[in-house]
Amino acid sequence: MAKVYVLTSGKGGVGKTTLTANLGTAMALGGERVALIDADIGLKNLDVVMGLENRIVYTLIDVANDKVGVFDALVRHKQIKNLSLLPASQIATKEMVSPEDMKKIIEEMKERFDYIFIDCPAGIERGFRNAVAGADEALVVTTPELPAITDADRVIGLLENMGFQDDKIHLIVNRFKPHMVRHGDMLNIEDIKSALSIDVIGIVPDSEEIIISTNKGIPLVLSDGNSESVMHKVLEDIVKRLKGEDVPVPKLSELEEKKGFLEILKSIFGRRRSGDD
Amino acid sequence: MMGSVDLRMTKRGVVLFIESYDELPQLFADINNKISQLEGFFSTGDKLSIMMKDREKYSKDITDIVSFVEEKGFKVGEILVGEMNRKTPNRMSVKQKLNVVESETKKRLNPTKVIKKNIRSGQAVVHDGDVIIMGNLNSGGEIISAGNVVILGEAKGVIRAGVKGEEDAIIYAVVMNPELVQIAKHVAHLTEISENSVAHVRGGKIIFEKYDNLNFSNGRG
Repeated sequence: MAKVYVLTSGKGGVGKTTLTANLGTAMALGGERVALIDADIGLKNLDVVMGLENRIVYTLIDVANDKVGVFDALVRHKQIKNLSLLPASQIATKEMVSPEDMKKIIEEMKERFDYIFIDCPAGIERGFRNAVAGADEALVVTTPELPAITDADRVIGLLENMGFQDDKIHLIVNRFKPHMVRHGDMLNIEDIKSALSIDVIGIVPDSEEIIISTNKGIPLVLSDGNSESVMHKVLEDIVKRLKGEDVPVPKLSELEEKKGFLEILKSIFGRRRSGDD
Repeated sequence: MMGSVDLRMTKRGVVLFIESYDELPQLFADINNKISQLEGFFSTGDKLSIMMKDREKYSKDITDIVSFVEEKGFKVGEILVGEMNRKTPNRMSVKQKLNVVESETKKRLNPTKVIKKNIRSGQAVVHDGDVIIMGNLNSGGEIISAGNVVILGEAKGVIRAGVKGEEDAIIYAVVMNPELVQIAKHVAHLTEISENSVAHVRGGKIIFEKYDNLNFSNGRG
């Protein structure tokens, strides 16, 4: 029976989809059978981030309407055979699926997977309720900015009202900038912890490599060459914690790339950007 | 002639008996009249007790009558309500009596609601009585209470106390940093964070004060 996680945030643009793709991929690389569900119907992105957009035949809507079975709609990843995606339809709307449909679909999927990650749309309306309906635990994604934290707080409150126990809700702080914290220009982890008072399961530093990998449609944990990077370690550590391993949350200094590497990366990125312009 | 008022010497000193009257100005004129008849009998600072027959008028007018008599230079001793011929009317000092009146008119509220968790954004606590939060009130959360609100944590959301019109409702927070505070019909924004702070109404507006500077035990605050 699969363990089902929903990645949610309330606020848009904090990195739910990117984290769903990367955590799912990292989990699958460890040999687990993993499924990703894109619950953002009408504004699907997860297939693009996974590089699977031109493999979709059926979508979640077709499954909800009993046109096809769940396992016919699943798209298998190109390289990793134990990683699948249940894509969302771009032409449907969130109202066309009900929380009951989602529960039914996930119940069916649970039999054949070890972990299921649901990518929740921004907002707290129907799409949110759909995404959360079938989940066992929630990973609330936030960035160290006040609007994101306020929205995360709202979402945690809604999850509590829906019956999620406190120990089933975990926090991932994304786009964390250690150097800004050191200069006192950004909220630190303790501030966020005390504001939201839930368990922090991961701190993901801000990174340019992740933008590059997202645009390529290859999850960062799959891209070659920099498997030693901080991002790799951070994502793999979160996956270990999700599996129940006791991995300590890293210190501020451990979240920073080594100087030389960062500079190389910056120069690569800078060239790309100027090329685009 | 037997007017609406009479002054009598009793065991408890001089008592101003107020039998019946229609309007306050008329009563004041009668009292003036009575006192001037006995010119030279009283001197400034003499103690004068007041006894009123009419209970209804008493609760409405007693504060005005007391201040009128005090303006005349008397010290008001006891205030009594009831029939003149009653041998042992209820005795109470002004302050005691007023406190009783106050508590009688006060609405009976529900038992205190105690909440042992954080109030998150979008969550609301609505209660027809006092509320105690053993946790934080996060930004976007709201407390609506007919009574007092005590927050044993950081208060960042919206706090409404005494919403049925209780002007003497108070709001306490360990860290007071709310988005909006309302007591009865008054609203206020806090300009800076204060710790161990109480919000209450004085002079028709909400003021924030350190808890340590207040003394509720003597009825202040």
